Amino acid sequence: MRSFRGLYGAGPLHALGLIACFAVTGYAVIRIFDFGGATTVLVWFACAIIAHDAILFPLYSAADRVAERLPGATSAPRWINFVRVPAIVSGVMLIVFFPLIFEKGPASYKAATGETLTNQYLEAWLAITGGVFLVAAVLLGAHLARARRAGGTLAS
Amino acid sequence: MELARPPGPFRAEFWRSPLRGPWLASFLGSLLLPMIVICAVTGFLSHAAYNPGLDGNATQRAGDGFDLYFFDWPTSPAWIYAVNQGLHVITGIVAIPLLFAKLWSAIPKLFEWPPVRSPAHALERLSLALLVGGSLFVFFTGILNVQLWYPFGFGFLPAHYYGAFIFLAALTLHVAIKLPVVRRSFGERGVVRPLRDDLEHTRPEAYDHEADSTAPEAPAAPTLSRRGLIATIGAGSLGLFIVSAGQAIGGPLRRLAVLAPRGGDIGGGPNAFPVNKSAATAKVTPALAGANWQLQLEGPSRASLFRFQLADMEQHTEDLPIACVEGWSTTQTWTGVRLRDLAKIVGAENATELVVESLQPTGAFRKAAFARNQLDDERSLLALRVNGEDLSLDHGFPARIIIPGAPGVHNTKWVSSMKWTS
Repeated sequence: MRSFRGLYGAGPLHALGLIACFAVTGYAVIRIFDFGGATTVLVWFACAIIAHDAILFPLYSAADRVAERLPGATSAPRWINFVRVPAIVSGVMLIVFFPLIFEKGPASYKAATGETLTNQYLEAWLAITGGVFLVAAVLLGAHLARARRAGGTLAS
Repeated sequence: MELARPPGPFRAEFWRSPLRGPWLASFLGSLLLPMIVICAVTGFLSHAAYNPGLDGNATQRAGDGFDLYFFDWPTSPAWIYAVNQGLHVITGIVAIPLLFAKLWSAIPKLFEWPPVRSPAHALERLSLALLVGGSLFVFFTGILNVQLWYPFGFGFLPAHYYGAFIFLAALTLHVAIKLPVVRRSFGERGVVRPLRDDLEHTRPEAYDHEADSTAPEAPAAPTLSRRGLIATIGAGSLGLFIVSAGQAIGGPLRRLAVLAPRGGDIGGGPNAFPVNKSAATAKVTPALAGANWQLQLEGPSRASLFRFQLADMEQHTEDLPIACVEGWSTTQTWTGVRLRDLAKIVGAENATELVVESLQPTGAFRKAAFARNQLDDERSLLALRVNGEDLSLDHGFPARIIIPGAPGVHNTKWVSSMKWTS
């Protein structure tokens, strides 16, 4: 007779942990069912995985690979990180606050508060994006100048 | 029968980043886990803050769900709910870059080949789908909710609340299964030692085919050190913090919160602070709240009071926050009648529960129930004025409840009746 491990592929503790995990999941799904919309919740679970794994991740890794192949991106004095950092700072702000930036929820906002959105979110995000890229450009300028000086010293 | 390995991401040589590996995944996980713990604890505490055991308070009905809330939410310190929700929403937002980095560090696992090696492997992968889907679902439903955007076809509260059960169950299992990997990686490479390496000294983690490692088989030359990666993630989180945290923290940071729904400038005057729900939305008209308005009190006896009669009672002034579940808060100076003094009028000094109803004809939170400690606190007021002026209609004229430490929506506006029971 084959051992439990041979049949299952891991120890009994692993199996118990998974049973507990799926039991809690089952309970939560039933609770959500009580409130209605459980199917939609499961669809959104799946959509969240697809949005990240099949859209966001391939997009940003492809963008990074393209940038890496541009001249001077990764060879000294390498500039790629002076683009990566501001792009990430600006990008995560867009991903987190896109409903405000593109005024997705102003109807709800107005319904709740009776006011229209007073902040200019799109302008704010564009200004921040411009700001972080400007700072990165200044730092890159200093980095290139330093590299040139170091190169000059070496040459002389 | 062996299935042929498809090309692309299913091949080990596709994954070239020299930074990926068990140490990086362990380190990112160790940074992310405490943030998730803070988010989860404050989330469950927020539910407790609504005193879900009291009549009609719980959006997740008490008694028929997993509601182990056996304590009354405290009134001291008065900022307890503001801090709780500030922490909940701020950690939830600033964890996002770390969450993406963690997913990035582990993503080669999605393309493992063969896709299923054993029943254990299949079930574990299913639990990982719950973990990844659950993390994104719980974080982003929260993030959409604070921006008042509801594109989904389900109720936010139960989905966010019970979605967290699924996420946390899968996370607990994942941590338990991966603990040996974390211990081995930290044991071999040190917890922070790899962060000392500058780019020149950055070496890939060893590829281990047997251990099915995320370390690259054919690593590219590094273009970023590990500490550079961590600093970049930190910059992303710091940026999110700066543009949003001010709506909870206040002070000079409030003006920096340019991407927060309730940040930025709101104008001047005693009534110039954020409104959660306007009178127009609540369908409370100036006529309803006008001179004919009378407050109905009910305890062992009954009474009706006009606003001028309330204003003739002993007035007390307290600095108390209103703190929204969505993470913004604001402390104002409220003046009005103590709830204890109102209870005396109808002989309800010994009541254990109070139900307050609003003029608002329909909708969520048009009434709220309070526990004994909230009634007995001398700072608990029926406020008539704020910052030295009458409440504006949007802030609850003719009178609103203000309870130290309670969630914002329980500070019922446009109060029409108060009923004490034992």
